[in-house]
Amino acid sequence: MKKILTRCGGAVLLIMLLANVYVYTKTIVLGDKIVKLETKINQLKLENSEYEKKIASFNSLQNLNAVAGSLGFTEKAKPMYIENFQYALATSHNE
Amino acid sequence: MNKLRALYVFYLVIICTIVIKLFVIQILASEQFLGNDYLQTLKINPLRGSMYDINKQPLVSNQMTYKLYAEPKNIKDKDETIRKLDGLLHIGEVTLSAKINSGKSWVGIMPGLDKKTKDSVVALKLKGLGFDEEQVRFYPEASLSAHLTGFVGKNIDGDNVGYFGLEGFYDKDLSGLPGILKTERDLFGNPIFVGIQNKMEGENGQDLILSIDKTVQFIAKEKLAKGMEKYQAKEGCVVVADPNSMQIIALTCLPDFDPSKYGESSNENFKNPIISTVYEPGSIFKPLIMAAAINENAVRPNDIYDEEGPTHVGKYEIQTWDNTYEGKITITRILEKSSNPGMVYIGQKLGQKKLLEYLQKYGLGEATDIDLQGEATVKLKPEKLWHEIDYSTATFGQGLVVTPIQMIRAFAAVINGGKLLRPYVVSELDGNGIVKKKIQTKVVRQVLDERTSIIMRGMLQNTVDHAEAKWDRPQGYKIGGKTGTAQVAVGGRYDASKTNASFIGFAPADKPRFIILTMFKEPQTSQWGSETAAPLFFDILRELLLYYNIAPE
Repeated sequence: MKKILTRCGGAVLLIMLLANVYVYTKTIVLGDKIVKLETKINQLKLENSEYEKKIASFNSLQNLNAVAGSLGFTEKAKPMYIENFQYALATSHNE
Repeated sequence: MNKLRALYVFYLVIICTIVIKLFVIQILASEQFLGNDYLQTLKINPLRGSMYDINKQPLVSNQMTYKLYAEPKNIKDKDETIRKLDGLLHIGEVTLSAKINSGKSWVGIMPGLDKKTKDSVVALKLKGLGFDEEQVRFYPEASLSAHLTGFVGKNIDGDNVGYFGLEGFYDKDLSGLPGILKTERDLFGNPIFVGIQNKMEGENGQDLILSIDKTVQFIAKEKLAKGMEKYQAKEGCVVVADPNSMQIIALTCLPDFDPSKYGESSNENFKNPIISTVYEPGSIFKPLIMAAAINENAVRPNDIYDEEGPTHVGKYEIQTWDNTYEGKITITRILEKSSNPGMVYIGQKLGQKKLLEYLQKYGLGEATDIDLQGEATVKLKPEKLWHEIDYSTATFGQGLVVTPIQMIRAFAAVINGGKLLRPYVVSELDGNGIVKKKIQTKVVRQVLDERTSIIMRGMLQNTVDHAEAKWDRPQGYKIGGKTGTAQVAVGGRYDASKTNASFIGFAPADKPRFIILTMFKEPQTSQWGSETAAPLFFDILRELLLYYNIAPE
């Protein structure tokens, strides 16, 4: 009985040791992954920021004004005034 | 068996040693091991809020830049590093040498690098260099709204702080709250999961949605710049607002500054003249007094005034601007021809007490509370210090001072049904796309009644229709307004050669959509508002009527 208990205890201890090593190794790998993900997230945020800046610059009025000018859209919009009719409109109808 | 037992004992000893050591560290000698070299406390910097115009187009946003630093002790070949860096950054080998050979463990080399430059420096593969990320402001429209937005600078502690304009006024809302990350990391920077991992989320700054229309702002600034060149003025300003709510649609002054390079501008240019500078308004003030007199039934539009000649007040003589007199004229005609003696008559009909009362009702001597940092206020002098001549000159806008924002606000009350409103630039505060706060129109007080406002709109339309100057007006629209040419006081006397020329107008006259104030300080080609500020007003109005698709009446 004593021998069985001792052997069982030893086996449990060994298993726990191995499990400890396994879990510890896993956390190191996970930690490494987290750091890489954090770096990736940061990089994506910076890239987003760059794209937002590019979009805002492209859409800026100064840029659009320059692009419009280079494409020949230089004439300012003007209203067209329709002259007043001098004659009343005659409508045809059956009486 | 003995070997197995020996192995068993060996493991037991190791485990017991570990347990005892842990007991010693955590219980017996805990104070000695209180400091945690693996615990990092990091500040999570919040993103500063952005600013968008009424159409959600960005006016101010953020960008990441990089600050290049060096750790001189880790640089092996200093000469090569200096040579290669200077070839890329062009800041001078002497400057670089002074920094790198300074003997310090850390030294900043150059802030504000964009990603492209940073990648170029990284590609040089130089040891002992590193980059810190910095959040700085980005202005896609450059200096289009410099006086409106203000700029972000640093305080004594090196933290970002907004100065002037919206950046200053809404600094707390824009700054947000930093978060804190407490994390235990190993030597390689990997998180230790069994250790402390606490994160207190911060809050990014709130975004401002403005009542400003970027396109109208662009139109106003472009026209103003042309006007400044044409009339050779020292300074110029334009304000466009909705008179029914006092939402500011455009606000621009020249000279201004580049908010991304504010260090290169003179401090004088940071002040927004529209809210920070006082001036004698001149004739654009006359409608306010006229409206007060009509409101009090002291005069009616068709009453007759005998403009027989200059008016004498004490030892002073008050003349018309051109020293011509038309004899019997209507009250409306007083405004049309901008008659100073006529306005003195109106002031006398109104009475001194009522005149002072209306000056206060119009908000003179009090802040408008516009949401821009830097508003100046000048108190009205106490009643006991007013002399008879002061009551007279006040009727034509001299002898008292206002800021342009006070002027446009008071004028808006004349045409919008008599309500004095609080002007504002921000209509909404957003956080993560969710509306956190909506700014509503605020009625400060009722100054005039609706009847007076209707009468004044008609009189001001007549003023434009019967103006002596032939302006290039948009056809088919009813437009109201008033010119102003105020002499500038220099050393206690008025300098006849220096004027503040202005025009304040609105359209369509029946149901005003815009009120526009244009001003030039000391224009050289002509000192008159009718020849400088008025043409600018009509230039801007023409574009606005097209932009907003407002059909002729």
